[in-house]
Order: sequence, then structure tokens, then C-alpha cells
Amino acid sequence: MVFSSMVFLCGFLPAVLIVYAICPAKYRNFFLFIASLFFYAWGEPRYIVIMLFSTVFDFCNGLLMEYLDHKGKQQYRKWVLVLSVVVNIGILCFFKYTDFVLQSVGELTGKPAQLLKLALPIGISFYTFQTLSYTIDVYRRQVQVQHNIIDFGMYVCLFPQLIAGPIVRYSDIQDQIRDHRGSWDDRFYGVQRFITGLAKKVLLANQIGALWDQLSVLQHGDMSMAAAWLGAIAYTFQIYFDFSGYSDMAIGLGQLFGLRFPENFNYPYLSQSITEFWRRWHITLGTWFREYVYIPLGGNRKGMLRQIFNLLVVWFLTGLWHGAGWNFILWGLYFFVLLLVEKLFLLKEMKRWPRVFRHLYAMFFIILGWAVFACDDMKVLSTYIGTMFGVDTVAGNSISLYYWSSYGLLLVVLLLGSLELPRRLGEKLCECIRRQLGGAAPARGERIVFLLRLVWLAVLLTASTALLVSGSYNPFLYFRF
Amino acid sequence: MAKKELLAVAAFTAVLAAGLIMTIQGHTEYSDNENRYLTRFPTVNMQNVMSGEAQEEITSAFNDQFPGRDGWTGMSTRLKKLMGMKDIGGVYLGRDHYYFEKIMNQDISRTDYFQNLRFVNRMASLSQGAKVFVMLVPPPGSILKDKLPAHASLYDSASLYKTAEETLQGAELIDIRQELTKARKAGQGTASGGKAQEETRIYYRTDHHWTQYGAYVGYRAYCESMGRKAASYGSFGIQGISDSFYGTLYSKALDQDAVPDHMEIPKKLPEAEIICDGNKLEDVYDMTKKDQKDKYAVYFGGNYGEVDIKVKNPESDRSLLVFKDSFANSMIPFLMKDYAQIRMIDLRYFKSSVKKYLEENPADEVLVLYEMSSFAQADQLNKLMK
Repeated sequence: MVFSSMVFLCGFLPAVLIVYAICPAKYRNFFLFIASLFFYAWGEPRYIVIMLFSTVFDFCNGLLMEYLDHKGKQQYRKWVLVLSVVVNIGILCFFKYTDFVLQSVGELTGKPAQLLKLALPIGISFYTFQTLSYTIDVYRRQVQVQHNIIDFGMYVCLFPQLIAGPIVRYSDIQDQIRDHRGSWDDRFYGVQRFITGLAKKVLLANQIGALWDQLSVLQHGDMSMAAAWLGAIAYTFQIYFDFSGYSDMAIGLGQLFGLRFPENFNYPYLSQSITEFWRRWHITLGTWFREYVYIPLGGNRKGMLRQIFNLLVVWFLTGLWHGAGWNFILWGLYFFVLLLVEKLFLLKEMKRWPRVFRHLYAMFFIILGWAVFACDDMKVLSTYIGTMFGVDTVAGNSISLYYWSSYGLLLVVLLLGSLELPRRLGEKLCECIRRQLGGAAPARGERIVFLLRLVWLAVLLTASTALLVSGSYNPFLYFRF
Repeated sequence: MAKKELLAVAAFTAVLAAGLIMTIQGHTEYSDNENRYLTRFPTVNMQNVMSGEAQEEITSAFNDQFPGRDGWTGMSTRLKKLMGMKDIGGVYLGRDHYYFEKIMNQDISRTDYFQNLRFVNRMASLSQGAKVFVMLVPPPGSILKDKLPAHASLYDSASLYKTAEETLQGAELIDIRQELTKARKAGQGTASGGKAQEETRIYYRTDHHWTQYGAYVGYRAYCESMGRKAASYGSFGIQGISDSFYGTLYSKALDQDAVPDHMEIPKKLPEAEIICDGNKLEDVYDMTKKDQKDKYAVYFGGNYGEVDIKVKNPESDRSLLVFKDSFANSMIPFLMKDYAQIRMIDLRYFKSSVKKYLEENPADEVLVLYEMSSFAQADQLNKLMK
């Protein structure tokens, strides 16, 4: 089930909220666990077994390490960790990369490969990283061992972050698992956050995504530089509003149950360098790789060469994590090169550039990167990038003019939406109302602000409902993650 | 302070829950507005749950059975127009309330098209000395270019005509592009409400078919290429039957600003015995269909594998065989007075062997009549050889 569907909005969600509200506090985690399993089974009735196995397996690994501690056999803890990593990563690799490896080997040797053609279990990349964060942190004695399988199961399988993140590390949430009552303020914030995320996904991402979908299938003769850039820009906006909208919905849903998830995006397109971009984009994934790969490899403490090697590993893995395809590996390595160049000298150099140049530089490489990310066929990719730079094509034609003019307005909205400006304006407006209308009675101003907020949310929810009910283009982008 | 928030969260939940209750009560089977069957809630069992089929059906039933669906789809189109979009649901929102199917070069396979032309050639060589003609109705957007939104493009139908000319052998291509363009300006036919208008409507605004007058232009062109004189439009006793026709393009765009089309039919036709797939039809027109949403079905009541029209007291003893899509349904009535027998084969629904059919039912003339994109995309023309 995806959040942006009527079956979730008007089926699953109200049912869960109502039962959760009347459920006695001590059974709430159990209920969330069951509801999450139902949510997952909706799309993947069979693969639920794998998720449950991961859950039970890492739960036992935690207990086992604790047991070894009690018995004074600390030296064996390491082997439990190794087992956990091998099994978890093994399952992930089996489902995600087997066909990719077979295919690549087949292409190298020229023999057609016998593929397994397994469907990738949804969310496996996310929950594998979550359970791993638990075992690794238990090994490092940074978190308490969890003794309740229901509580642990709820953490791993919790439906808000199950299929598209954010990647919640166990340490982020261990203090909240037993006690997540939350206040009505929190819950209202959750509703706001959820509806905003829904609107980002349905009103913005899906609409611009339809443009990328149409441009990417144009025949070579109909293509042009203007269309290729428009396509890449469209995808750039689509993936941001889709992914951050999804994260907003997850964080909002978490808050409805009193759980606070880490933030995943921080206006990434405001970045003035690629280094900054990766501090603002998919933050929980970057954190995971830093905590569990980069730093254990030695990070920047073992000399320049070793650091470069560590970065290479991290970015190769980051690329690969996003999907089993050469374009994803290329995409990861592309960022490795950019980040390395910035680290070696460019960041210092850039300090002297005017700010607008730094923005243009960052956006140019970000957009180009998304073009690499979006084309999963290497032949298509090289033609597409070629077209962007005018190889064997025209600057523009009536088709590109049509799309630029049709989507111009939406692009302006998306551009503004990528900035902090709308939020600041909203806050200014609220401030203004409080001052002007509240006057001597602050409560009155507060009430008006609250009402305005409700109206705004109702408008967003209504508009999103219209687009969802009408069955407009509504893709799920993370099926390869 | 907390009370307000409590109320807001409760209201949010209540609205969603109300949606749940109203949706699962819905069991609308068919949407006239969208011209399609809606998904209904399935009966759940172990098998369809494990295969995921039940979940998929429930997911789409939640959209299809959602209360006030038609209002929501209308709002969705309005929102997209507000965002500046000029095509919705695969349909261009043209000028003067025209809608056009958005068919692009990538939607047409040149090899399939070429192959279909060769199937026609084969059929022509099998048809025992009959004269074979091919009429491909041009896409509305190529004749009404000025009605398309600014810069909107369509597949290159001109080059498809060129290919047809070069490829067809033993069959003659009737190119009606110029005729239609001329007819547009001539001011024949009537506008909605019967008022005279500056230009003639040869295609419907909300439907992908040609209008009765457009079909007349096709009829006239066919007569001319046969060396016969066509009767005038007025001589057919044209009669308006509806001013509220919302066609298939409307059903795709679901634009509440659409203006319905006027529909008229020729009433003065010779008497005939009409058999559609074995069932006898009282009249060329099924007038019950004029009150339903898809009014184009008044011609013969829709599409059939075979329609056999035997004219009573014919003025001539010629016979005509037509391989066709629905564009023929509105043109064939004009031809009735020129033949003793007209048979129409719609290959989408025709199940028997065409080869045998040609042997058993030799005709003096064979006409292949399709709209251009429908001919290019047709995947049953190989039946012409079987």
C-alpha cells in the first residue's frame, strides 16, 4: 500500500487511527505491529516472511550478544555481529543484485544468462538497514538490548517508514518505543505534516513526473536539447517532491502515534556545493553510511589516500543501494568524483565565487546527476546525455516549445516550493495576523491563525483527493531501492 | 489549547472514516461519464489475496467507487488546467472547445503500419477482380491544425499517407485530406442548435469520430473515385437527433467546460434488410442509443463482426464489401442507394476466415475504411490473409 492512495487515506489510515485511539496503552505497540504487517502484506503477502525473519533474527542476535556478555565470553560477540551482517546483507543482495550480476556476467561472456526474475521485496533496503543499525549498535554497546519482540517488531516493521524511509536508526528511537504518548499538539503537527507531504507528492511530484514520463519516450527525431533539459529538470523536481513528500508523510504519521523520526531532507536544492547537497539530501541514508561504513573504515583519520579509498567505497555502495543497475553505480561514482574534487581544492576556490555561481554550479551537476539516475539503460543514458549537450540534435522544436509553455507555470511553483521562501512567508503571515488581529487579545489572533491553517490543509487535502480519485499519474519510485 | 488540536485531529479522522464508509457502500457498475466499467469490491478469498489480485481490485475500487467520483474527476481536470496543462488524459484541450487525441510519433509503429498495408495488398490479390479502395480518414488534428493548442504536435500523418501511396498495390488510395479541408470552409451542414455557422464541423469537438457531414465528404470522395455522381447532402433528409452529445474525448479529458456536440443523421435512406452477426435490425439506426451517453452507437447500434445490408428494390445490382472501423458506420448509410448489397466486416470482432468469406461472397468493390491512427495501430489486419 502506498500513502498516496485512497485505499490508504480513506481505508487503512482511519481504521488504524480509530482502533489505536481506543486501544489500551499497553497493547498499542502490538496493534501497530499487526497493522504494519497488514500494511506490508497488502502488496507482498509472501515476502512478509522475509521481513519477519530479519526481525526475529536480529532480535535474537541482540539477546545472544547480551548472553555472551553475561557469560564473560565477550570475544564471541564479534562473530554474532559478523553473522548478522552476512545474513542481512546476504538476503538483501540475493533479492536485489543476483539478476544484475548474472546479467552482467552474461554480457561479459556473451552467454545469455538464466535470470531468477525475483520481484524485489518492497522496502527491503530500508528495513535491512534499520535492523542492522540495531545489531551494530548493540555490538558497540551504544544501545540497550531489546527484550520485547513486539516492541522490536514494531520498530522494524512500523508502516510509516517501512517502504520509503526515513531510515530510522534504533538509537534514534529506543527511548520512545515503550512510551510514545505524544500530545495533541504533536498529533496536530503530524496531521499537518502528513497533508503537506501528500500534497507535495500528489499535486507537485506526480504532475511534473508525468512530464518526464512523456519526454523520456520521445523518438530521437522529436527530441531536442531544450526537451532533454526540460526532462532532466522535471525529474529533478519529481524525485525531490516525491521523496521528501514521502518522508513528510512518514514523519507526520509517526507524530500521530507520538513517535519522532529524524528529518530526511533540508531544502537540498538550496545547496551551493555538492558536499552541501549531500548534507541536505536523504540525510538518514547519508548518516547510515557515515556511521556504519565510512567511520568504521577509518574515515579521515588514516591519511589522505585511505580517506579517498573510504569515500570511493561509500559512494560506490550508495549508488548501488539505489538500484541494481550500472547507471546507479555510475551515479554514485559521479558524486564520488565531484565530492573528491570539492574536497581537494574546489570548495576553497568556490569561496571566492559569487553566490549565484555556486548555486548554478551545484544545480548543474545535481540535474545532470538525476539524468544519470533516471535512465536505467546505459544506451538510452548516453544518448540522453548526448542530447542534453547538443550531440546529433536540434536546440529546440515545436515539441519542446509545447512542453516548456505547458509546464512553465508549474516549474515556477516547483522552484518556489524548493526554497525556504513559502515557509518563511507563511510564518510571516501568521505573525502578522497575530499582531494585527490579535491585538490586545492574543488568544483571538491565535484562533484565527489556527483556523487559517485548517482551511489551508482542507484545500490541500481536497485537491489531492481530486487528483487521486481521478486516477491521474501516480507512480511509486522506490520499488528499486 | 490542546482542545483545538484534539478537535482538528478528530475531524481529520472523521472525514477519512466517512470516506471509508461511503466508498464501501458504493457499487456503481458502469460510468457513462467515462465510458467504462468501474472496478467493484471483489469477494475476498485465500487465493486472490495471496496472488495480490484482491488487493489490486480493492485499491482501484476505492478510486472508482469513491462518493461523488464525477465531481472529483471534474475538479482534477480543473486543477490541471489551472496549472497550465494543455493536455489531460491523453487529450489535447484545443481551441473553440475542440479536443484531440494526443497521438505522437512514438505511439505509431511504422513497421506495423507498413505490414498492415501489405496485408491489404494480399487481400486485394485474393479478391477476384474486385476493385479495391483504401480510404484512411486523416486525424482531426491534421485538418483542424488551427484548433490545436499552441505548438501542439501530433504524429506525422503526412508521411504515413506517402508510405500508403508507395506501398499499396492492386488497391487504390483515396486521399480525402484536401476534400475535408475544403469542406470545412464551405459552410454546409448545421451547427449546434441548427444555426448557420462560418465553418462546417467535419469532426466532433468532444468525440474522435467525424460528423455526419465529415462522413458525407468521405462518401462524396468515394463516389468520385468510382466515377459516379454523389447526391447532395440535403437530398438525404438530414435530421438533428441530439444537441447533447459528449463523446469519447470528453470522457478522457472529463473537462467540465466542454460544450456538447450537435448530432444529425440522414433519414432518407432506401429500405433494406440488415443483419448484424445473425440478428436482424429493424432500421439502420438504433434510436434508443441517442439517449445514452455514447450516441455514436445510433448507427447500427454499435460495431459488429459482420453487418449485411440487403437493399430492397435496389437501383443497381452492385455489391460492396467494407473492411472498417467505426468511422464507416456513419458513412455507409449514404452509399445504400447505390448498391444492392453492402457488407461490413469489422476485423476486431470478425471471427471466421476472411479468405473463405471473400471466396463465398464475391463483391464488385472492396473498400478498406479506417481512421489513420486506428489503421496504423490495428493488430488484426493479418486476418485479411487467413
